[in-house]
Amino acid sequence: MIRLIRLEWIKTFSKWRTYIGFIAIGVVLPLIFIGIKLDKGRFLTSSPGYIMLEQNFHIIGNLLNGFFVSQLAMYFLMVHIPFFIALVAGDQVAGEAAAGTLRMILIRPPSRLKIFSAKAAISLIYTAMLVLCLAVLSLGLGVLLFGTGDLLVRTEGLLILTKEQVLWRFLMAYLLAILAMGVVASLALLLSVLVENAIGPIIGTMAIIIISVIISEAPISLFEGIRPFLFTTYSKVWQKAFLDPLPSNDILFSIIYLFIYMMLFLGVAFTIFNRRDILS
Amino acid sequence: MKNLFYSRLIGLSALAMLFLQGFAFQSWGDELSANDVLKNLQKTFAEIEDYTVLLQVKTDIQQIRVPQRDVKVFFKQPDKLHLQSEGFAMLPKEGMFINPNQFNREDYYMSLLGKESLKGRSAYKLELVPRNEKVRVRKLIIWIDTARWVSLKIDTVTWRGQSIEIQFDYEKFQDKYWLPIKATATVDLEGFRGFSSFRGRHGWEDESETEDSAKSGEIIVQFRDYKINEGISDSIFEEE
Repeated sequence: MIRLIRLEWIKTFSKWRTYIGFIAIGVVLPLIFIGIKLDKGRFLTSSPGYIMLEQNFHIIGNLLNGFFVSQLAMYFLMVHIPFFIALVAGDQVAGEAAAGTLRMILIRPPSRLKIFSAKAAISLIYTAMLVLCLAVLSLGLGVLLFGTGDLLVRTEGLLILTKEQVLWRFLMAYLLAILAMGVVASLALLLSVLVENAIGPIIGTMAIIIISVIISEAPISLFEGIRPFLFTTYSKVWQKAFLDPLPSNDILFSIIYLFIYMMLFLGVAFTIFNRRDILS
Repeated sequence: MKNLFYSRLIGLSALAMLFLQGFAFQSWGDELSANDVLKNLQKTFAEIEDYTVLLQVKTDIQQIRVPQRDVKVFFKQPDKLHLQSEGFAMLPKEGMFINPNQFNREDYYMSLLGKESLKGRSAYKLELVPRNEKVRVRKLIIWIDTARWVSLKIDTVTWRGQSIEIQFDYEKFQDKYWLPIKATATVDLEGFRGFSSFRGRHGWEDESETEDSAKSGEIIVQFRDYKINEGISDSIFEEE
């Protein structure tokens, strides 16, 4: 099994598209941070909440610090990361089918379950790597450029987390983000076993995500009954890692839902993959 | 005989009236004007050339969660103030470090609203209304201890309608300086919507969450480790 995963790793990382996500994060993140640095965080100090606080209170301490900009980067980039994940996970089976190598793989001794598991594992590993890349780069560069300090959480009212609390909150947020993005990878893999061209699963995954996000967030009462059944309703669970007090029940509930969705997508994907006649 | 009696009665009454009037004039003469009260406050304040104090700030305001923090305050006459903290802290701008030197007849209308008893102490109630909108507050009322000449309570209302009321408890230091040991600020941040505007950039906002809600509560500040008139370098204030 490990040999299969290693083989899938080599195949995946020998493609240029695999690096697009890392390159995008590596380019966009420094751009955002340098922009904030040059702008001296005016977007924060000119926000209505900050202006009102500053009018009434002496504000002591550095709110524009590495932790704050890292949290901001998470908000910015977590919207776009599903695309990079779909680009790689959506190519796992469909890409091989399009290239005509899938039939060749399947006639070899490893079972379809093992082959699918290796592909699923690589998709999830890639997802985790992408989120961890965001974590290391944003926290590293953020602290380097802006230093450390208490974290101003983007929420209603004013919520400040102490420097001591921040690191484990970030760790939890990134782990939750990996889980949420894992569901996206599973969905892309499911669409990947359905078609024989690489572009279909990518567009399909993004289309499903966009529609689900609209239904999940639009303040339309008609959608209220549908929302609990959409995985996008729970995919922003990482944001709850910064709340105080920590909404443990909500987080646990979201983890269970996301895990069920991931298993469901992978289960359906494997069932289709296992029964499918590979003609190409 | 009768006429003599009446003329003596009138004479005595006149004397009594003059005597009583004298008392009345005497007590009228004791009453201070708003300007006198302010001058006494300024005089007490001028006795301290500089001080440092450590504040423990505890915030308890609806929808505002800020960790308890220690803030070091440096003050030097006439109006140098520097605040230092390991992390984020917020302290009311108006009233917490009141500097009576900033109040003058050119910038404020002053009126004495009478005397009131506050926590068992007699206090003058002084109202200050800015003459122009350059001053951050719309109205300021200070309760000034009639014996110690320190502010017992300060009530401020900003132009935007937010109000902050601060009550002080005092202790005598070095046998001559009355300085606050505790301040309780009651805050009403009407219209404060927090940092939801960041949130709105990525998708729709839930209207129920962004509605204005009253954010009222208290900021309790404990003062300790005063160092009075020990000298503070000007460089500390230049950092800001």
